[in-house]
Amino acid sequence: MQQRPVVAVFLFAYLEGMEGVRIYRLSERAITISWESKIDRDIHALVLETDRRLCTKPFAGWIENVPAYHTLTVYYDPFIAGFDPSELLEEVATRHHESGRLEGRHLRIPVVYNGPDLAIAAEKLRINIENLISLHSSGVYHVYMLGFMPGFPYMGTLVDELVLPRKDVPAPKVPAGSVAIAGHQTGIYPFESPGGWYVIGHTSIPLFSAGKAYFEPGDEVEFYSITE
Amino acid sequence: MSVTIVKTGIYCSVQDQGRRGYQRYGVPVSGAMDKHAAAVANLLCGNTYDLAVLEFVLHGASIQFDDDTLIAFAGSGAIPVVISPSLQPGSLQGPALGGSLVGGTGNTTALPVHKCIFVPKNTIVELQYSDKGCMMYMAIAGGIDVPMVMGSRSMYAPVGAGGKQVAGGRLQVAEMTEVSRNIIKNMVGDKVVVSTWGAIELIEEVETDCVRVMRGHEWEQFNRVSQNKWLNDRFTISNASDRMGVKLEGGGLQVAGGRLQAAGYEMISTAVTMGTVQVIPDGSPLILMADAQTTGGYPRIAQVIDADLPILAQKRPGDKIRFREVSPLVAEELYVNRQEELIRLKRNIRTKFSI
Repeated sequence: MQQRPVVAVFLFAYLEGMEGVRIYRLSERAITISWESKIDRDIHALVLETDRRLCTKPFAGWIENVPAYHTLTVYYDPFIAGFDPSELLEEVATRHHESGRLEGRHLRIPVVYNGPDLAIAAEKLRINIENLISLHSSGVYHVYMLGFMPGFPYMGTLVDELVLPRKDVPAPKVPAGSVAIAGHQTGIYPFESPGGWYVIGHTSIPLFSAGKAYFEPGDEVEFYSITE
Repeated sequence: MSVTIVKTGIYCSVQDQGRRGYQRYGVPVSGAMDKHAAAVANLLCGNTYDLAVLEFVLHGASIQFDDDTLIAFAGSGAIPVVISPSLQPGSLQGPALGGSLVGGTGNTTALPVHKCIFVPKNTIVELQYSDKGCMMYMAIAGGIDVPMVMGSRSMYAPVGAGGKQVAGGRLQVAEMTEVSRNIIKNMVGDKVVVSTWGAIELIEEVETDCVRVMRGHEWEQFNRVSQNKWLNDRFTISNASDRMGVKLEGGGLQVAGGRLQAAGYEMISTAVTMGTVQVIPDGSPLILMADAQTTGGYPRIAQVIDADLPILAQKRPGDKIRFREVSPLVAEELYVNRQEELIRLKRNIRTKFSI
């Protein structure tokens, strides 16, 4: 009878490390470590912890990592490495995580809620504009990934009341600094570009300059409304 | 030392082997579309393989050399021709160690690829029409010296990298290596001289229509008809292709259950790379190229192997290609072979021109 809890604990530790971890080749020069396919802060914490481990102790031929929602992609040069790092990556990814979640920075971003799509987004969501602003600025968002263009933060998770599919036809020109929503995500365009998200406001914070992105995966972000 | 781009032609940019280490911030790798050609051109004029070169899309460009220097061409898509100074026709005899003076008729002379070429000050070279290929590379001894941005000189406008003003612009060239100085001393004079040695055996087989791929991570999600279509059909390069991606006409690829076109069918975004074949909602394949974004959310049917990316880079709109599957192990072997070829070329040149 006394054995049972011990077995249960052991099994739990095993599942925690191994469950859902898959290793696949993106190319002959990149391997992706993939955890359970969902948008989840605990899974993302595993991505960032594995990222940190590899960055602080890179293997021969390692080039760079790209952390995303539930994956970490490791670029390397097989010619320099001279070995297949798959096993090493699996070991690093499944090693017991005792340090817990890495603390992200807490950032507050001023937003002028006057985006060109504010009215249409409110109409499609069947809420009024004030409500939309207050819902968007009362959430705390987690930066899951930078992608699409230099410094563009993919943040989640929006409350269900703010969920809209992306536009059928992307706008040809979304200005730099545009704060936008799509699906369960919110993001900010660092540079002018075409874009399919609904632009609800803008911020003047420079999101990418001198080779550095303003946000990093793992940051916690809050928006607050300002007037121009 | 500098070089003047008199005319840019269809498109001209400064490129090296790419920007590494910043993809985590969403910065594309960029660099040459045909990285092998850019590396070979560099080595042939005594540079290291990764210096910045000029990448030309098709023909129309015109380049003037402001000083005596060494250059090398690689790739295809245009025929480089010496416009000035005018040359003596048929004079093929050159200095014993250096090479041969270029011969030709009239006032113009075509220059070969994969050779080292001496150009005297004020030489003008024009890229003229060719009926095959797409990307032409010109390396210059010392390398194009636009400012380094995040570890690379490759053109990427959003971060202000790669010398935006290539048109009509004078581009600085860095100081040449000792190897280049040893090569040039046997060729220097008032005529254009082409080396007798070169790397002819490394010219890419761009005329093949077969591109090798490995299975993409979402391969199993495509229905059987789509999988067969992918490996058996010939696809036409769309004219919507650019440095970000090669778009293929002839869609009809579908994930099992037809969910690709269903509203809201979207994967959670993850990293993608040059050569990744995404199937976009209209059912057509989009192959990511040098300036592609770092992450994507469309199902990936395949990954073009690194060794065959040059074949793809050298295709032009309207060309047809087909795909053949190889294992990741074969892909890696071919990549390693390619690196070894470049190292051999570098070693041979160093041995030949050591002090």
